[in-house]
Amino acid sequence: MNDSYYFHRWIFLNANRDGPMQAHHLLAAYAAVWLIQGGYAAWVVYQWWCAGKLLRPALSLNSDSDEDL
Amino acid sequence: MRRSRIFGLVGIVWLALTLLALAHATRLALFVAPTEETMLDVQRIFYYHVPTSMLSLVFPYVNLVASIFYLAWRRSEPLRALTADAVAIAAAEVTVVYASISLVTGMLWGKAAWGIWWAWDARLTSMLLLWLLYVSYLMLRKLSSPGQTQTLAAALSVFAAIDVPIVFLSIRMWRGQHPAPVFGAGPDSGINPAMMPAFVWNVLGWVMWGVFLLAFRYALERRRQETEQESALKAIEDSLEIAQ
Amino acid sequence: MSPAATELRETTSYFAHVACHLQKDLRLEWRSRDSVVGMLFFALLTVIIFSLAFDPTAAVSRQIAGGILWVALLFASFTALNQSWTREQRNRVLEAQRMSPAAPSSLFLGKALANFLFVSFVEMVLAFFFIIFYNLHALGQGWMMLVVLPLGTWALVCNGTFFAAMGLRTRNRELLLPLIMVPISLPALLAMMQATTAILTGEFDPSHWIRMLVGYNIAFTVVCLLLFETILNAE
Repeated sequence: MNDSYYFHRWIFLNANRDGPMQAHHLLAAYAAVWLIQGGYAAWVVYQWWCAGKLLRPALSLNSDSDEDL
Repeated sequence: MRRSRIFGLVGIVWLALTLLALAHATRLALFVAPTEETMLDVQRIFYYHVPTSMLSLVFPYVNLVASIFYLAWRRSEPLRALTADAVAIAAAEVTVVYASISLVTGMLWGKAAWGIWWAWDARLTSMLLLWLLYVSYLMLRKLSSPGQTQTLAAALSVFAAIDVPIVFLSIRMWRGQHPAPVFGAGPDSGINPAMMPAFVWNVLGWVMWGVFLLAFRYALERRRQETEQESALKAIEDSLEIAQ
Repeated sequence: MSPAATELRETTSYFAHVACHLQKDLRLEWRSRDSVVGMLFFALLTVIIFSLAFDPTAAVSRQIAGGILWVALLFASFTALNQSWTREQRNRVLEAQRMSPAAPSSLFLGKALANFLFVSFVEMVLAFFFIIFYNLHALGQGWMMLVVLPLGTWALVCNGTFFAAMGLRTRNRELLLPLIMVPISLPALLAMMQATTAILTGEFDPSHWIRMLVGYNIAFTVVCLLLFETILNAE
């Protein structure tokens, strides 16, 4: 029983750590899911923000409102 | 605008509920559901994998329905057609996201259980082909010339949706001749009733998340459409000013 | 004219239009012959590349020849399919087609049939070379190849002609066609390759695959005919 066994026991309450199965794949799978979902959501948020900037330009685009030049 | 504020609020509430549901579902999946005898803890990947795979077969048909509405409305009610088109592209992107997750979790499960990253078995191969179909839809969207994108994409969407069942049938027929490593009983064959709560909560959570992603991507697409229309309008106005 | 007579006249004129388009494509191709010759050479080169890659013995060659044949035809057909539409763009012929009262799907059908004939011609020549290069003879029922070849070719050509028309006004036309055609065609490709392998090796029954090909062809031919007008007037 090495240290990683106790670490796994601590995280996975019901876990049976014996055998060739490595729960690393489980962790990697769950992490991958959140990475992909979160990454896509973050991309949409970023694009949303960029599109918002285009709708309300900081500088006025036409020259009518420019004052004395 | 009041309507968009309401939608924004509903969206945030929905997101909060979704994250709660997913947190609960994940806790159930990791800590409460019983450990399976043969596969041990790696089997818990199924609580994420199976709902995701199921949903990746639903969103293509959202895309199909939206595309059909687009084709029906594009001459008669062009503005409504744009909303249908926004739903279509949102559904296609969410399909690709869910199919990607299904593939990745399936591959990790296969690696843990049989030491191989890929087996040309019926499920994984069909999911790969589904992924390819909707990536090709997104490629068409990207590569086609701007005036035609929506109509061409809607046509391709019809082709892809008809192809999905054909793909699943043909791949199953193919793999029936050369048996690949059997993935054993998934939770949908003789599932241990103690696993049901975790499974059901995960289905609920991922459905809610999928709806959230769809709605948010739809809103983004509508914003982009608005930007396009405003710049088109502005270009027309500018040309009118010069004409004076 | 009675309604039945009008309908009959419209139907016959539809097929007359299809025949007209078919004749036009055949004649244009006969004058330049670049499409068919290009396809033929390309397919031959693909076969040679695969032979260098796999170094087949007689037994192995029967397993892989089916796959190689259809892969070679698929790649060869990409250029021919794109070319078949670019010739409509010269002299603004396509605009004229759109303005004419003839049903747009007759243009599609005529062109698909023409492409079908060209690819079938290349196929016959290729099959001949296969028999020579791989010393092939079918261990299953060889006559069934006469069923599989046209079904498979139509599956490729029908969708291919449609998707090539989609890419007409696209920047990267040559890139787009394989990207959208191959994923949709994968079940059909699987079916035609499996059926051919079944016939050559005699190890399993090709009839399921042939039935799948028939179903695929019917479904997608109908869809192509129905949607062609939509994509022709996609703006």
